[in-house]
Amino acid sequence: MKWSGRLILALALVVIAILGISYGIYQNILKKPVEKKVVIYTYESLLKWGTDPNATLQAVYGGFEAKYNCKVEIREFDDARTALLVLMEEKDAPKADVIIGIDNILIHEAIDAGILEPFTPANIDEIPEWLINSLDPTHHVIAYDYGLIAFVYDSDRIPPEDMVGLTFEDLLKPELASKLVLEDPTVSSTGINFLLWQIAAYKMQGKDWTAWWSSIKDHAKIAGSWGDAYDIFLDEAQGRPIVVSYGTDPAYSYYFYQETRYKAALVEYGNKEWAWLQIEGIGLVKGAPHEDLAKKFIEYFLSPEIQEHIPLNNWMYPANSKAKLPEVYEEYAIDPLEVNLMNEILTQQEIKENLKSWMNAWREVVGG
Amino acid sequence: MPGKGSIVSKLGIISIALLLGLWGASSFGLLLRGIPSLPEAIRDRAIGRAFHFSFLQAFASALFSVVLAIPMAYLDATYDFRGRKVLKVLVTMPFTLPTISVALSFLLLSRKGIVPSGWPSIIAAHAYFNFGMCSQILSATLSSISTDMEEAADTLGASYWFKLRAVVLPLVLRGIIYSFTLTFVLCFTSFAIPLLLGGPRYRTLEVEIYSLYKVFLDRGLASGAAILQLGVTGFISLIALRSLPAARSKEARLRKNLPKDPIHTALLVYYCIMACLALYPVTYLAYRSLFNPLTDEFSPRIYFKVLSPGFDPSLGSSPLNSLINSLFFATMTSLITLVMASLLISSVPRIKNLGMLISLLPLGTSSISLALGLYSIGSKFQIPGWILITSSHFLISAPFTFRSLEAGASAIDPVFLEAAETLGLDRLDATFKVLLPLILPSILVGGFYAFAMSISETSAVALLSTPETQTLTVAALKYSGVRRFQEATAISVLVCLLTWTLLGLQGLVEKRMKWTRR
Repeated sequence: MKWSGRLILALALVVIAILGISYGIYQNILKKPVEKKVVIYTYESLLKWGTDPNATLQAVYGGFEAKYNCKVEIREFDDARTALLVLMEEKDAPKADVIIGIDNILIHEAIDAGILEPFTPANIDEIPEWLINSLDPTHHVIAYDYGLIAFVYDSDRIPPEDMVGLTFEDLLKPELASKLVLEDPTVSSTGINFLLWQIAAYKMQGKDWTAWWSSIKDHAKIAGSWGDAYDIFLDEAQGRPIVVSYGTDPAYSYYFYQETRYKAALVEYGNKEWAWLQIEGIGLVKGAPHEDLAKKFIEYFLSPEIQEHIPLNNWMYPANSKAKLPEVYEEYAIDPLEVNLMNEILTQQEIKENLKSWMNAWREVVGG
Repeated sequence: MPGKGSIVSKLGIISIALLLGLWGASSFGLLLRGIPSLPEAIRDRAIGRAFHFSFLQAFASALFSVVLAIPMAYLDATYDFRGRKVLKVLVTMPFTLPTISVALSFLLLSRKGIVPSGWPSIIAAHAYFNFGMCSQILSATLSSISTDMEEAADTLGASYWFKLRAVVLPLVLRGIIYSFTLTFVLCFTSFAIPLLLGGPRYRTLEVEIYSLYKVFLDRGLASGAAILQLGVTGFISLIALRSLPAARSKEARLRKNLPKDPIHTALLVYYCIMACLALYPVTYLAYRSLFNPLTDEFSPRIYFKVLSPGFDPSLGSSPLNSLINSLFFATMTSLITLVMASLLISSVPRIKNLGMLISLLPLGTSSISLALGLYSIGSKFQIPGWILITSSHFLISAPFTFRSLEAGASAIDPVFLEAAETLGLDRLDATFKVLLPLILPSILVGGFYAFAMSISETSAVALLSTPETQTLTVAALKYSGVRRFQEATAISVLVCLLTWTLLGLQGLVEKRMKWTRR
């Protein structure tokens, strides 16, 4: 046989085509066409922090599949922001039905982007009204969990006395500032929540919040994500035993390792403890292709049986007041209902109007 | 007789059209949104700072990479010695690793105080990531230059250093500038390394773009900044490539035995040290993957777990499926890129040079905007995710594969091709039957680059894949997102092992192909 250049080229193209076609068939086998399905966009760590994440996910999503004889398709993104960004790209031809993870900061951008459809679930009475209203009174998303941002510290490396009655101003002392790890608000969601907590505290006292940052930036470590910050915190060689994290962390350490050295602290002003509350919500996508099932899924996700998975798997407080809390929460987590919330100092309207300019100011102060 | 003007000598246009089409389609939104925001982006102080830092660190990183690579490339192309191939393989390893693994290992080094934190660690990590790739390019360029002129210089009594400076360097200038440009573009648009190592003060433009897209959700300004980035990288690539004639010589470079003098021994020792350094992240990852920090247990069991065919709800599919996907995308990317590269080198020089230049466009484009662009086209036209992933991998690997084949082809005396054409073969036949078999080692290197870049690519595939199409790197990302580092590192090691297997195969094939030049 004469191997002309054309033949070799054609052969190569045929091989590529055969490979492509067989892979396409393989994909079709994997993704069996189903009549009834619901497509959910969320962040990749949702409900994966328990002792057996696979069993939890199976219980939550598998439970819905069994109940409604349908398929639950999950698309995970590195965080809820990316999921929102993708929804914005798909706005003209939505593929998702439900989004899980829009919090009380992202909500403004999500509503502005016009990718959510207001929906009031039948079991909304089981969610406290203050929680619904703090997140979104217009019901574009409904709260499914909430928790506090806190300073988590290692009591073996820093005496708890040093963390009692803490203020943001105390943290500026070089001996404390040099022990602190924060997250960068311009790349991390935890960082934005912390920034708002700090802005609110300074607003309450009528002070310029940027002063705190220009003073602390040379001493504290500012990490690019919560994960990086936590790695630095845990690595004792780094000498940074205070990290901005969540109020349920001590409960987590106790639950998994029976370890009580990690504790959480808030700030104290006027003999009151003040905290910042993060509320996460679930919402219906505008133009959802499977709207009926999507609505059922939202109600299912908010039901007490599913909400009881939240505390030990997402390490947040469940929004449904009927969901029982595990013992470890009573003992080791900071209950958001027992502290004062800075969220009342900084209204949702103020956040909506100023968030970008605050972050721009932060870039100037810290990055400059 | 089909001559140079015939259509078959212009098939490279297909490669250019594919590259431009894919890039243009995915960047259409970027251009549309970005151009009106360009003035605002130029005025923005944070973008300005990021731009400044990107430029400086990219310049320094590229300079370091090339300087580190020159001695290795010189040894590799000029002398034959035991272990040459092994060393060559080892130094290319860092470039084929996922950038996040390199970033993590340098984070560890800077935490231990071995590398100063802040900008020095960024430059060190960039140089480390790229020096092997630079060495490959330089060695390929040098291999295409015969030793005649050096021998002439020897005869005339030139000193060793004079010979290097006055004869060898000018001849490899094209390779130097090309590898410098490529590294500059890669470092200018670098993301994972500065994000992890730089903190808020040392940010590249790509980190700023990411922040504008994701946290500020300001797609206009983000696109404006991305166009700025594209403008700079495009301008630099254009200047660099246009100003340089190709070095060419009639004869092949014949490798001599390595002289046993102090200079060459020192160079060899240096080469060996660099090769050992190149192994460090993989060794570290392998150690981390075998060690369970919770139970203090040392066991390879994790590897069964990350290769299991069972459904893992954390991934939304089975771990084995991600291996199949990775292998598919890598194979497909290699095949398509090689075919396109072959078409390009079969074409007349003008088309060939244009193709080389255009292949750099996707590298200079912000990866997050490229991925979002592909995503939006995919959702608009209902294109299956796997086609989008293959397309994005083709775009990122094209410049490396094209360059490998072009370097190989430029080493072949055009007389061969002309003779073939005189004998009645048309350009396409001459390319496939004469040129390509002669440059088989370059094809293998090019294919290897495409394979390795596809298999280690993370950011585009993370956005474009569904659980059914996710790759090994996405699985690793998902595991490390929930701090299951053992699984994550085991997968990274697996990615390295696959790359190594391919390198091994490449060596085996080369051994059997006696007719090719090595």
